[in-house]
Amino acid sequence: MIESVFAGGLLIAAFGLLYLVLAAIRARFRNTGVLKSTKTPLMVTAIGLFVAFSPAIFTRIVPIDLGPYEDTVDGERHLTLTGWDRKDYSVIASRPDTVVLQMANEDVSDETMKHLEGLKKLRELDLSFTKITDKGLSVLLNLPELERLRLQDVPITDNGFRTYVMPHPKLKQLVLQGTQVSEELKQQWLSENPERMAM
Amino acid sequence: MSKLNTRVGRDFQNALLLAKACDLAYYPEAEGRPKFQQDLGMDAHLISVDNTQAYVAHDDGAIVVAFRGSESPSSIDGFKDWLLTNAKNFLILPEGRAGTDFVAAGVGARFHKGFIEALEEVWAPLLAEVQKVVKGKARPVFVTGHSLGGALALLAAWRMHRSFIPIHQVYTFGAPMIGNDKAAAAFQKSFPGKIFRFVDRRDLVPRLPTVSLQTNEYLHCQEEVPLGPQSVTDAIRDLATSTPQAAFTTAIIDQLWGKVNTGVSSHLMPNYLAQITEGLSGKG
Repeated sequence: MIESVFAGGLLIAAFGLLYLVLAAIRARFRNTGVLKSTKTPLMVTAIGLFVAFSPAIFTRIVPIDLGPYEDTVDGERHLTLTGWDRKDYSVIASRPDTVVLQMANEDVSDETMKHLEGLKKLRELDLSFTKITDKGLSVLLNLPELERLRLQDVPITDNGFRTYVMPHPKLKQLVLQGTQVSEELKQQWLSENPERMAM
Repeated sequence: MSKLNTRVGRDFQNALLLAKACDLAYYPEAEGRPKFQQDLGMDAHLISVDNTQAYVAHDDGAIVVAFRGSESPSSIDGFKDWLLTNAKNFLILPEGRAGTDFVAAGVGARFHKGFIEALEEVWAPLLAEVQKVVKGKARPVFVTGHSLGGALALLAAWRMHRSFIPIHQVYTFGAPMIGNDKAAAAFQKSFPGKIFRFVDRRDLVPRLPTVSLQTNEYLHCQEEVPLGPQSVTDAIRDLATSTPQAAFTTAIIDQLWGKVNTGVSSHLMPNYLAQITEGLSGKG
């Protein structure tokens, strides 16, 4: 959309310039005032340039919307709250068909996890950089379809990993870098199923 | 054993090897494969779709993904590359799965449209190849590229990271910017101390797209590794301030033109290879 406005503006400006050259030549042959006969083409060129640069002006003046970002990919709902400027995570509970949820924000705590309990289709969850603890991982009991879980730099320990992550039947891919989960336990989880991946 | 050092932190020896890989990435597969074997001791395979090319190379100890930059813009192919990628400098979020992967950087993050589209062309076969190599044996993954290839290397590193392929380090040479401030901050957070952006001070390309006429502002990912002497713009400013106005003669114009030309040639891969070799001998 923005791109076609830019291209359209350039097209109008190019047309205006061509018109300007023709008008100047005509004015020379007919001996009419150059200023008078080039007024319209100059206007057209100016309008074209204005249209072309209006997206740039618009994007510089209007800030990017930092609300929830939603998209439907292959008929599935993907919801991203990472980096948003809102505080109310109940927006998650109102979208129980969410398949991918990304909420790597520092204000996400164990308390926030209650909004995820109804997400029976959730397959992918990004909780990196949050402050959830072992207790918060209990939400995994309510997420039967979860396959991919990201926990980069989250203060969880072997305890939470053993109690909630290891027994989960579908979890296949994990991000554990920056957590306190021990290498041995991670290797044990990996060895139980060759399809599993952890980083 | 791999020639690449797989410890953490910046390493000039790695920079030299990866710059070599970037240089080889400009060759077609028939020439590139034996050169990768000969110069780096790596088994390489070219993934090429439309305008985007990347080599996936590996030895016992490491995996390297090296992106080709744009062809010289003076050739027809190069001009097409430029028009289809570099010139499309709107900041966007792509559609579909790529959109989900990139918006993971934050709802305010935006990326260079042309680079995103160029990566998208090659993404499916590239990811499949990297996954295959990683599955064969998990090894540290290096992603690298020169110029446009450097921009693609950064974006590819992000998507691989989102596809559960751990990225060891990213080395770029003379690469332009790929996204806005929020995108740069997210890269910093997800790849702390793993991105090394080699920039010759005289090279003008890394300053692109500074003044985008079509969209909001860009910002670089860290960490920058400066190479070479004074930047071209500084040199031109010095030249201008040290010259009395009346003396702005043809000689000065020639000097100015010379400086601008240095700005162009310093962007090319041979210069980067030379600068890094120099840095290596100087810093050990």
